[in-house]
Amino acid sequence: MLLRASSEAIGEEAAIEGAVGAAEGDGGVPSGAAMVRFSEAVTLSSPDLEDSRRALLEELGAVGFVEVAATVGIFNGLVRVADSTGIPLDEVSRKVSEGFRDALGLVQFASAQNTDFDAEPGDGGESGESGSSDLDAFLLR
Amino acid sequence: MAAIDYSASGLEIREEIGAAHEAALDRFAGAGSWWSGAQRIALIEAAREARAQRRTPPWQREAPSPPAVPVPAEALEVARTVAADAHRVDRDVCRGRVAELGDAAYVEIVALVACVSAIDAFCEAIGVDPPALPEPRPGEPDRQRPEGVGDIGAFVDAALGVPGPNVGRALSLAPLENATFFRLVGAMYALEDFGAMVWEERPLSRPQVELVAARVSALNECFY
Repeated sequence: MLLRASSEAIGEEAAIEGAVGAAEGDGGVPSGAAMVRFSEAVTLSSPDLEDSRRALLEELGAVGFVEVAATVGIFNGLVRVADSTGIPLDEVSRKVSEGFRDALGLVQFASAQNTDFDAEPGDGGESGESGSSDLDAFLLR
Repeated sequence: MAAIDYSASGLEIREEIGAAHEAALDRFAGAGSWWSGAQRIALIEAAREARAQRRTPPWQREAPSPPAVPVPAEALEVARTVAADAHRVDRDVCRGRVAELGDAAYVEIVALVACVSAIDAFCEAIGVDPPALPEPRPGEPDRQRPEGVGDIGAFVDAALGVPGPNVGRALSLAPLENATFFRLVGAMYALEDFGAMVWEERPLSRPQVELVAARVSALNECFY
Protein backbone atom coordinates (compact mmCIF):
# COMPACT_ATOMS: atom_id res chain seq x y z
CA MET A 1 0.00 0.00 0.00
CA LEU A 2 2.80 2.40 0.86
CA LEU A 3 4.56 1.40 -2.34
CA ARG A 4 1.52 2.37 -4.34
CA ALA A 5 0.81 5.57 -2.40
CA SER A 6 4.38 6.81 -2.50
CA SER A 7 4.71 6.05 -6.21
CA GLU A 8 1.54 7.95 -6.99
CA ALA A 9 2.82 10.85 -4.91
CA ILE A 10 5.72 11.30 -7.33
CA GLY A 11 3.66 10.64 -10.42
CA GLU A 12 4.84 7.10 -11.03
CA GLU A 13 3.06 3.80 -11.10
CA ALA A 14 4.48 0.94 -9.06
CA ALA A 15 3.89 -2.66 -10.08
CA ILE A 16 2.99 -4.33 -6.84
CA GLU A 17 2.99 -7.74 -8.54
CA GLY A 18 6.76 -7.47 -8.83
CA ALA A 19 7.07 -6.44 -5.21
CA VAL A 20 5.26 -9.46 -3.82
CA GLY A 21 6.78 -11.94 -6.22
CA ALA A 22 3.63 -12.54 -8.26
CA ALA A 23 5.56 -11.42 -11.33
CA GLU A 24 9.09 -10.85 -12.51
CA GLY A 25 10.32 -7.31 -12.83
CA ASP A 26 11.52 -4.22 -11.07
CA GLY A 27 8.29 -3.26 -9.35
CA GLY A 28 8.21 -0.16 -11.50
CA VAL A 29 10.86 1.70 -9.51
CA PRO A 30 14.46 2.59 -10.40
CA SER A 31 16.95 -0.21 -9.58
CA GLY A 32 14.00 -2.30 -8.46
CA ALA A 33 15.20 -5.57 -9.96
CA ALA A 34 18.60 -5.39 -8.24
CA MET A 35 17.01 -4.41 -4.93
CA VAL A 36 14.49 -7.25 -5.10
CA ARG A 37 17.21 -9.76 -5.99
CA PHE A 38 19.33 -8.65 -3.04
CA SER A 39 16.38 -8.57 -0.61
CA GLU A 40 15.55 -12.14 -1.57
CA ALA A 41 19.13 -13.29 -1.18
CA VAL A 42 19.43 -11.86 2.34
CA THR A 43 16.01 -12.95 3.55
CA LEU A 44 16.29 -16.45 2.13
CA SER A 45 19.99 -16.80 2.96
CA SER A 46 20.61 -17.80 -0.64
CA PRO A 47 23.92 -18.57 -2.36
CA ASP A 48 23.24 -15.53 -4.55
CA LEU A 49 23.92 -13.17 -1.64
CA GLU A 50 27.46 -12.22 -2.56
CA ASP A 51 26.76 -11.68 -6.26
CA SER A 52 23.54 -9.78 -5.62
CA ARG A 53 25.33 -7.58 -3.07
CA ARG A 54 28.05 -6.74 -5.56
CA ALA A 55 25.51 -5.99 -8.27
CA LEU A 56 23.44 -3.74 -6.03
CA LEU A 57 26.49 -1.88 -4.75
CA GLU A 58 27.54 -1.25 -8.32
CA GLU A 59 24.08 -0.04 -9.29
CA LEU A 60 23.21 2.13 -6.29
CA GLY A 61 26.56 3.06 -4.78
CA ALA A 62 27.48 2.57 -1.13
CA VAL A 63 25.11 5.10 0.41
CA GLY A 64 22.02 3.77 -1.30
CA PHE A 65 23.13 0.20 -0.69
CA VAL A 66 23.28 0.75 3.08
CA GLU A 67 19.70 2.06 3.00
CA VAL A 68 18.53 -1.10 1.26
CA ALA A 69 20.42 -3.23 3.79
CA ALA A 70 18.81 -1.31 6.65
CA THR A 71 15.34 -1.76 5.18
CA VAL A 72 15.86 -5.47 4.67
CA GLY A 73 17.09 -5.73 8.24
CA ILE A 74 14.28 -3.89 9.97
CA PHE A 75 11.54 -5.58 7.97
CA ASN A 76 12.93 -8.93 9.02
CA GLY A 77 12.15 -7.69 12.53
CA LEU A 78 8.79 -6.06 11.76
CA VAL A 79 7.33 -9.18 10.15
CA ARG A 80 8.15 -11.17 13.29
CA VAL A 81 6.37 -8.63 15.46
CA ALA A 82 3.29 -8.61 13.24
CA ASP A 83 2.99 -12.38 12.85
CA SER A 84 3.81 -13.31 16.44
CA THR A 85 1.35 -10.85 17.97
CA GLY A 86 -1.35 -11.44 15.36
CA ILE A 87 -2.17 -7.80 14.79
CA PRO A 88 -4.99 -7.33 12.30
CA LEU A 89 -4.57 -5.17 9.25
CA ASP A 90 -5.31 -1.52 10.02
CA GLU A 91 -8.79 -0.50 9.02
CA VAL A 92 -7.88 1.65 6.07
CA SER A 93 -5.19 -0.71 4.83
CA ARG A 94 -7.92 -3.31 4.74
CA LYS A 95 -9.96 -1.12 2.42
CA VAL A 96 -7.05 -0.06 0.26
CA SER A 97 -5.90 -3.65 -0.26
CA GLU A 98 -9.33 -4.84 -1.41
CA GLY A 99 -8.38 -4.33 -5.02
CA PHE A 100 -5.33 -6.56 -5.08
CA ARG A 101 -4.94 -8.84 -2.07
CA ASP A 102 -6.97 -11.68 -3.65
CA ALA A 103 -5.47 -11.30 -7.09
CA LEU A 104 -1.94 -11.41 -5.74
CA GLY A 105 -2.59 -14.38 -3.50
CA LEU A 106 -1.82 -12.46 -0.31
CA VAL A 107 -4.85 -13.94 1.40
CA GLN A 108 -3.17 -17.34 1.11
CA PHE A 109 -0.66 -16.30 3.78
CA ALA A 110 -1.60 -17.87 7.09
CA SER A 111 -1.43 -14.50 8.84
CA ALA A 112 -4.24 -13.20 6.61
CA GLN A 113 -6.53 -14.97 9.07
CA ASN A 114 -5.62 -12.34 11.66
CA THR A 115 -7.81 -9.83 9.86
CA ASP A 116 -11.59 -9.92 9.72
CA PHE A 117 -12.29 -8.64 6.23
CA ASP A 118 -16.01 -8.45 6.89
CA ALA A 119 -15.68 -6.27 9.98
CA GLU A 120 -17.51 -2.97 9.96
CA PRO A 121 -15.42 0.22 9.95
CA GLY A 122 -14.08 0.99 13.41
CA ASP A 123 -14.36 -2.61 14.48
CA GLY A 124 -10.68 -3.38 14.99
CA GLY A 125 -11.34 -6.04 17.57
CA GLU A 126 -13.66 -7.01 20.34
CA SER A 127 -12.94 -3.68 21.95
CA GLY A 128 -13.97 -1.81 18.82
CA GLU A 129 -10.51 -0.30 18.54
CA SER A 130 -9.51 0.99 15.16
CA GLY A 131 -6.08 1.38 13.61
CA SER A 132 -6.80 4.59 11.80
CA SER A 133 -4.30 7.41 11.60
CA ASP A 134 -3.28 10.46 9.64
CA LEU A 135 -1.35 8.13 7.38
CA ASP A 136 -4.49 6.16 6.74
CA ALA A 137 -6.28 9.36 5.83
CA PHE A 138 -3.55 10.11 3.30
CA LEU A 139 -3.75 6.67 1.78
CA LEU A 140 -7.46 7.04 1.23
CA ARG A 141 -7.18 10.26 -0.71
CA MET B 1 28.03 0.35 26.26
CA ALA B 2 30.25 -1.54 23.83
CA ALA B 3 30.76 0.12 20.46
CA ILE B 4 29.71 -1.83 17.41
CA ASP B 5 32.25 -1.91 14.63
CA TYR B 6 30.91 -2.48 11.13
CA SER B 7 34.12 -1.31 9.44
CA ALA B 8 34.79 -4.82 8.11
CA SER B 9 32.00 -4.15 5.61
CA GLY B 10 34.05 -1.39 4.00
CA LEU B 11 30.90 0.71 4.07
CA GLU B 12 30.10 3.90 5.89
CA ILE B 13 27.21 3.05 8.16
CA ARG B 14 25.05 5.94 9.34
CA GLU B 15 25.84 6.80 12.96
CA GLU B 16 22.16 6.59 13.84
CA ILE B 17 22.06 2.93 12.81
CA GLY B 18 25.13 1.98 14.83
CA ALA B 19 23.84 3.85 17.87
CA ALA B 20 20.45 2.15 17.72
CA HIS B 21 22.11 -1.26 17.42
CA GLU B 22 24.37 -0.50 20.39
CA ALA B 23 21.40 0.64 22.45
CA ALA B 24 19.51 -2.55 21.65
CA LEU B 25 22.46 -4.76 22.61
CA ASP B 26 22.86 -2.84 25.85
CA ARG B 27 19.17 -3.25 26.60
CA PHE B 28 19.38 -7.01 25.95
CA ALA B 29 21.86 -7.41 28.83
CA GLY B 30 19.72 -5.91 31.57
CA ALA B 31 16.72 -7.43 33.31
CA GLY B 32 13.39 -6.91 31.60
CA SER B 33 9.96 -7.05 33.17
CA TRP B 34 9.72 -10.85 33.04
CA TRP B 35 13.17 -12.22 32.26
CA SER B 36 16.57 -11.62 33.85
CA GLY B 37 19.49 -10.32 31.81
CA ALA B 38 21.03 -13.79 31.70
CA GLN B 39 17.75 -15.34 30.57
CA ARG B 40 17.29 -12.68 27.90
CA ILE B 41 20.74 -13.37 26.49
CA ALA B 42 19.99 -17.11 26.51
CA LEU B 43 16.70 -16.49 24.69
CA ILE B 44 18.46 -14.36 22.09
CA GLU B 45 21.13 -17.01 21.61
CA ALA B 46 18.38 -19.57 21.03
CA ALA B 47 16.75 -17.23 18.52
CA ARG B 48 20.01 -16.70 16.65
CA GLU B 49 20.63 -20.42 16.45
CA ALA B 50 17.12 -21.04 15.14
CA ARG B 51 17.14 -18.18 12.66
CA ALA B 52 20.36 -19.49 11.15
CA GLN B 53 18.39 -22.60 10.20
CA ARG B 54 15.29 -20.78 8.94
CA ARG B 55 15.60 -22.22 5.44
CA THR B 56 15.96 -25.77 6.73
CA PRO B 57 12.73 -27.75 7.19
CA PRO B 58 11.93 -28.03 10.92
CA TRP B 59 12.39 -31.79 10.94
CA GLN B 60 15.91 -31.49 9.51
CA ARG B 61 17.21 -28.84 11.89
CA GLU B 62 19.96 -29.55 14.37
CA ALA B 63 18.98 -30.11 17.97
CA PRO B 64 19.09 -26.81 19.86
CA SER B 65 21.94 -26.08 22.24
CA PRO B 66 21.07 -26.06 25.93
CA PRO B 67 20.86 -22.56 27.46
CA ALA B 68 23.64 -21.30 29.71
CA VAL B 69 21.16 -20.51 32.48
CA PRO B 70 17.80 -22.00 33.44
CA VAL B 71 15.09 -20.80 31.07
CA PRO B 72 11.68 -22.48 30.72
CA ALA B 73 11.56 -24.76 27.70
CA GLU B 74 8.35 -23.02 26.56
CA ALA B 75 10.12 -19.66 26.50
CA LEU B 76 13.01 -21.04 24.46
CA GLU B 77 10.50 -22.54 22.06
CA VAL B 78 8.85 -19.15 21.61
CA ALA B 79 12.22 -17.58 20.82
CA ARG B 80 13.02 -20.28 18.26
CA THR B 81 9.59 -20.16 16.63
CA VAL B 82 9.52 -16.39 16.28
CA ALA B 83 13.05 -16.42 14.88
CA ALA B 84 12.59 -19.17 12.31
CA ASP B 85 8.87 -19.77 11.78
CA ALA B 86 6.95 -16.65 12.78
CA HIS B 87 4.57 -17.10 9.85
CA ARG B 88 3.37 -20.32 11.46
CA VAL B 89 2.23 -18.62 14.67
CA ASP B 90 -1.55 -18.60 14.79
CA ARG B 91 -4.01 -17.67 17.52
CA ASP B 92 -3.99 -21.17 19.03
CA VAL B 93 -0.21 -21.41 19.10
CA CYS B 94 0.08 -17.98 20.68
CA ARG B 95 -2.64 -18.56 23.24
CA GLY B 96 -1.03 -21.84 24.27
CA ARG B 97 2.29 -20.12 24.91
CA VAL B 98 0.62 -17.20 26.66
CA ALA B 99 -1.18 -19.62 28.96
CA GLU B 100 2.18 -21.12 29.91
CA LEU B 101 4.26 -17.95 30.21
CA GLY B 102 1.91 -15.00 30.59
CA ASP B 103 1.11 -12.54 27.84
CA ALA B 104 3.64 -9.85 28.76
CA ALA B 105 6.44 -12.41 29.17
CA TYR B 106 5.57 -13.75 25.71
CA VAL B 107 5.63 -10.28 24.17
CA GLU B 108 8.99 -9.50 25.80
CA ILE B 109 10.48 -12.52 24.03
CA VAL B 110 8.91 -11.51 20.70
CA ALA B 111 10.44 -8.06 21.05
CA LEU B 112 13.91 -9.42 21.84
CA VAL B 113 13.80 -11.73 18.84
CA ALA B 114 12.52 -8.98 16.55
CA CYS B 115 15.35 -6.67 17.59
CA VAL B 116 18.11 -9.22 17.15
CA SER B 117 16.63 -10.45 13.86
CA ALA B 118 16.68 -6.90 12.48
CA ILE B 119 20.30 -6.38 13.55
CA ASP B 120 21.47 -9.76 12.30
CA ALA B 121 19.69 -9.46 8.94
CA PHE B 122 21.36 -6.06 8.47
CA CYS B 123 24.75 -7.64 9.21
CA GLU B 124 24.09 -10.41 6.71
CA ALA B 125 23.14 -7.77 4.17
CA ILE B 126 26.34 -5.77 4.57
CA GLY B 127 28.48 -8.92 4.84
CA VAL B 128 29.77 -8.83 8.40
CA ASP B 129 29.40 -11.12 11.38
CA PRO B 130 26.61 -10.14 13.76
CA PRO B 131 27.80 -8.32 16.88
CA ALA B 132 28.72 -10.39 19.92
CA LEU B 133 26.10 -10.40 22.64
CA PRO B 134 26.96 -8.51 25.82
CA GLU B 135 27.56 -10.04 29.20
CA PRO B 136 24.29 -10.06 31.13
CA ARG B 137 23.92 -7.62 34.00
CA PRO B 138 22.57 -8.66 37.38
CA GLY B 139 19.07 -7.62 38.40
CA GLU B 140 15.63 -9.04 38.79
CA PRO B 141 12.62 -8.58 36.48
CA ASP B 142 10.19 -5.99 37.85
CA ARG B 143 7.09 -8.02 36.85
CA GLN B 144 5.20 -4.89 35.88
CA ARG B 145 2.38 -5.33 33.40
CA PRO B 146 1.47 -2.00 31.81
CA GLU B 147 -1.98 -0.52 32.23
CA GLY B 148 -4.16 0.86 29.47
CA VAL B 149 -3.96 -2.25 27.30
CA GLY B 150 -6.82 -4.31 25.94
CA ASP B 151 -8.18 -6.24 23.02
CA ILE B 152 -7.52 -4.74 19.59
CA GLY B 153 -8.26 -7.97 17.76
CA ALA B 154 -4.67 -9.25 17.99
CA PHE B 155 -3.45 -12.42 19.71
CA VAL B 156 -2.28 -10.33 22.67
CA ASP B 157 -3.48 -7.15 24.32
CA ALA B 158 -2.10 -3.84 23.12
CA ALA B 159 -2.37 -0.18 24.05
CA LEU B 160 -5.85 1.22 23.59
CA GLY B 161 -6.63 4.57 22.05
CA VAL B 162 -3.29 4.88 20.28
CA PRO B 163 -3.45 6.26 16.73
CA GLY B 164 -1.27 4.88 13.97
CA PRO B 165 -0.59 1.51 12.42
CA ASN B 166 -1.25 -1.49 14.67
CA VAL B 167 2.37 -2.62 14.47
CA GLY B 168 3.29 0.45 16.49
CA ARG B 169 1.42 -0.90 19.49
CA ALA B 170 1.85 -4.64 18.98
CA LEU B 171 4.57 -4.76 21.64
CA SER B 172 2.72 -2.55 24.14
CA LEU B 173 2.93 -5.22 26.83
CA ALA B 174 6.71 -4.73 26.85
CA PRO B 175 7.02 -0.94 26.69
CA LEU B 176 10.79 -0.68 27.12
CA GLU B 177 11.40 -3.30 24.46
CA ASN B 178 8.90 -1.54 22.22
CA ALA B 179 10.89 1.68 22.58
CA THR B 180 14.12 -0.18 21.78
CA PHE B 181 12.58 -1.78 18.72
CA PHE B 182 11.14 1.47 17.43
CA ARG B 183 14.46 3.20 17.84
CA LEU B 184 15.72 0.57 15.40
CA VAL B 185 12.74 1.26 13.14
CA GLY B 186 13.51 4.98 13.16
CA ALA B 187 17.18 4.47 12.38
CA MET B 188 16.77 1.76 9.76
CA TYR B 189 13.50 2.79 8.09
CA ALA B 190 11.31 5.71 9.14
CA LEU B 191 9.52 7.21 12.09
CA GLU B 192 9.27 10.99 11.89
CA ASP B 193 8.97 10.91 8.13
CA PHE B 194 6.79 7.83 8.02
CA GLY B 195 3.74 9.80 6.92
CA ALA B 196 5.59 11.58 4.11
CA MET B 197 5.15 9.82 0.79
CA VAL B 198 7.93 11.84 -0.84
CA TRP B 199 11.42 11.62 0.69
CA GLU B 200 13.49 14.34 -0.90
CA GLU B 201 16.45 14.37 1.47
CA ARG B 202 17.16 10.66 1.54
CA PRO B 203 19.43 8.53 -0.67
CA LEU B 204 16.54 6.36 -1.87
CA SER B 205 13.05 7.38 -2.89
CA ARG B 206 10.11 6.23 -0.79
CA PRO B 207 8.90 3.83 -3.51
CA GLN B 208 12.35 2.22 -3.65
CA VAL B 209 12.31 1.60 0.11
CA GLU B 210 8.72 0.36 0.04
CA LEU B 211 9.52 -2.05 -2.78
CA VAL B 212 12.18 -3.66 -0.58
CA ALA B 213 9.80 -3.65 2.40
CA ALA B 214 7.03 -5.31 0.41
CA ARG B 215 9.35 -7.98 -0.98
CA VAL B 216 10.80 -8.86 2.44
CA SER B 217 7.29 -9.04 3.93
CA ALA B 218 6.06 -11.29 1.14
CA LEU B 219 9.07 -13.60 1.43
CA ASN B 220 8.28 -13.96 5.11
CA GLU B 221 4.65 -14.68 4.19
CA CYS B 222 3.60 -11.74 6.34
CA PHE B 223 0.16 -10.50 5.35
CA TYR B 224 0.25 -7.44 7.60
